[in-house]
Amino acid sequence: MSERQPTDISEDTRMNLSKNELAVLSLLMGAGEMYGLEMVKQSEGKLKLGTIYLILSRMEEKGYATSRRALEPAVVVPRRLYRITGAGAKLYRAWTAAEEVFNSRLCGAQNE
Amino acid sequence: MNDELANRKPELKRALNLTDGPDGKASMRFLHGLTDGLAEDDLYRATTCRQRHQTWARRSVATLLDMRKWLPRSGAQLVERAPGFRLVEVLKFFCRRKTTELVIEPMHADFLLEYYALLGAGRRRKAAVLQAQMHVCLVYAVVSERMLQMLGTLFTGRVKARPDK
Repeated sequence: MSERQPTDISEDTRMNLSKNELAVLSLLMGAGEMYGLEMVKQSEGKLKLGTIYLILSRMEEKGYATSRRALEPAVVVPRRLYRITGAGAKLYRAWTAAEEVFNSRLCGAQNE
Repeated sequence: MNDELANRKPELKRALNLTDGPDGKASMRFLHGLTDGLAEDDLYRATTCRQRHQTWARRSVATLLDMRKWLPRSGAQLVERAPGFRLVEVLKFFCRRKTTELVIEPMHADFLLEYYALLGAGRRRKAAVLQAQMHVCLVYAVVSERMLQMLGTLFTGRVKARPDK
């Protein structure tokens, strides 16, 4: 098993999430390990098969996800299984909390 | 010896269990030639030549029939080479090992699985579209990665080269 170690999150990459990356994080939060095609199928059209691996490799560079090669003897081309890291989970929770606060304040402002 | 063989022809036919098929007819011709006094070597040569000719004729017909694979067919088709393998080999020259491991190989694996699933479901047109999409996506992934890398190098190089930095 060649498990990749997540890199440290630097200051400039903190809370730097795109819409697709957030979708990937939310999917990975729900499941243990997933591969790209599975994510595309579960995202209901949000993610595309052509760009999912670019997003995942970028997220791995940022340290939000980790991957390992799935060793199946019957498969010639190995698949890659992705899992969320602690940093990724923390970021996702922070993001959703911030979103909730923003939405509640926005609703409060609208009610006033 | 020849008269003796000619007399024993029906007996030989029964003993050799010759049928009326092409093999039986060929063997009968051989037997006739033997009884008519041809040299055994010549007979063998003639038989071998005839068999070789038949084989070549059969092969050329088979080659012609094999051209049917270029025509659209409704039935199942044999997958001779998995799609994208040649392109992946070419792309591996242009990109880093990390990109190959993280982007190209898993993308190719997923596209192949999806392609086989579509072929299994009998959706050949959709599978052909997916095959084209796979080629485009693989090239796009490599080109975008290389372009971003070049732009990044260019930008960081310029920033570092500025005197106030």
